[in-house]
Amino acid sequence: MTEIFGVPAQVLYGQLLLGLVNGSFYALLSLGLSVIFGLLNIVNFAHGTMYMLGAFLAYALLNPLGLNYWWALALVPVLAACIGIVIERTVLKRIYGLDNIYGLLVTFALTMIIEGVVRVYFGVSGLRYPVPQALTGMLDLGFMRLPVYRVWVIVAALGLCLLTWAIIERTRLGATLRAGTENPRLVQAFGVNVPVLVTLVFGWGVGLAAFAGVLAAPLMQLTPQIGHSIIITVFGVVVIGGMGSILGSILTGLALGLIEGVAKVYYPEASSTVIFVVMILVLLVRPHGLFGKQ
Amino acid sequence: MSETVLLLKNVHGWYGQSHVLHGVDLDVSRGEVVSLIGRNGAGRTTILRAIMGLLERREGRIEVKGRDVSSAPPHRLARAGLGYCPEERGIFSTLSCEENLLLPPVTRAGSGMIVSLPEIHQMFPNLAERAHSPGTRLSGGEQQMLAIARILRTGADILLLDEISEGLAPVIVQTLARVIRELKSRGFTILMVEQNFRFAAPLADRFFIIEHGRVVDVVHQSDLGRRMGAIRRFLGV
Repeated sequence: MTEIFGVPAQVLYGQLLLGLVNGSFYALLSLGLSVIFGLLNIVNFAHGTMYMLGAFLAYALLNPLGLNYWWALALVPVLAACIGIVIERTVLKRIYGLDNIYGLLVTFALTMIIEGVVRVYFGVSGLRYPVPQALTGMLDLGFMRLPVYRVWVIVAALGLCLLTWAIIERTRLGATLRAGTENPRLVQAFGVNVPVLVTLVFGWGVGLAAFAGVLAAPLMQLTPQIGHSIIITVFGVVVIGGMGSILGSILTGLALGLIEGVAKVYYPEASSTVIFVVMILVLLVRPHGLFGKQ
Repeated sequence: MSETVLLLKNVHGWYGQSHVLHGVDLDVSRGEVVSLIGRNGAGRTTILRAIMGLLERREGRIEVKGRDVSSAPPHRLARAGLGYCPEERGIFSTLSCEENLLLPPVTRAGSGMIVSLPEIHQMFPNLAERAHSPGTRLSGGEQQMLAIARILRTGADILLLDEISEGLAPVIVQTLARVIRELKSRGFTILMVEQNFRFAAPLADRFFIIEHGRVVDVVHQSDLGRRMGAIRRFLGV
């Protein structure tokens, strides 16, 4: 059997694939977090909770309602976006203009509340969401076998990332959004209803997180805490990539997923901290992140 | 007397705690070019910002074409016909020249005041050449032209121009003067803040002299020669 630095190639490939899957989630989440921070100037701690909520909404659609995975993929982001919009209109809009720490505190409180509600309804024991029938099975590449569902996750997540990138970088709406991130008051003086734009962007960001949650649902035990660990990592990704760069978020997310995967193979003890070591190194050299602007 | 399209009555304005506008009264008629002159820090830029709803705190009454807009949110003002060119020009660095130009939405499609893109490119040929450059890579003169050009295609008919000649080469200042004349002949109403009195002197119909956050005198173009002494004294030149 082929070995790479003393590790069987199959094992390494398997971990790299897992790394890419995790990296796709990091990319989707850091993208939303970064766009929300850019326009709202809010460090959204509740972003991981929206990911968790996405997974549980998918579960709820399946279990009492009988709506399958594909329905969940279409409906859950919309539902979550609506919840996000209500939160933005009722809570977040009151703290714009205050110090960042208030945004962090308020969204931390929202995390606690939403998690509490989920715990009441679904318990903490860990629920299973089945892999949809059409995506079960393995893909044989000759040198390794890939679970179809994991490949689908990477394709779907990156597709949505690229769609978001294209909207922001290539359309009039995206130009307005970039301008609003730089100087919202001037954009408003030009006649753009910036408060509505802000609401929609928050909804879109929450929708992305919930979409990631649905994609992740068949891959893990669903507990109300799944948002916690991922949000901390995603904060690291955003800091490393640099705020405000869309492509930067996507590439950094993927790269860090891979780095984690490699660490799991060669030095498993470091796999949960390697991202933060990278973060410290990047901050020492480039305080604005790899792709960030001043 | 033609219609008053912009009216300020006893407008007060604040930056944080400091009270900077102390009861500004001002009127601009349709098709008129009005220049606000005064020393640095007299409050001229703040008057434009107050009109655009960009101050944290403001009191008093502002009317656009007879409609009270004192409590309107800033994005409504563009729809009333105001086009704003800020002092720092406000060119967006993450947008290309063309994206900057197309950024302000057309707010008054039927106003008859829309300057079409080909006309804009004729007025400012550089903007067509630099269409795909990032906005802040343009020269100072090009950025200024872009800042003016982008409010001409929205249908705005009242232009608020803040220090458009500042820091620019004489040949570009001459181009801008030609542009102002052309805009006036097309019927635009223009309220401009100018430090460069020699630039504003031949262009404006009336001059409002601003001192300590209020209007202290109004000079008509026809009285300019006779009142030059007073103006010099106010400007401290």
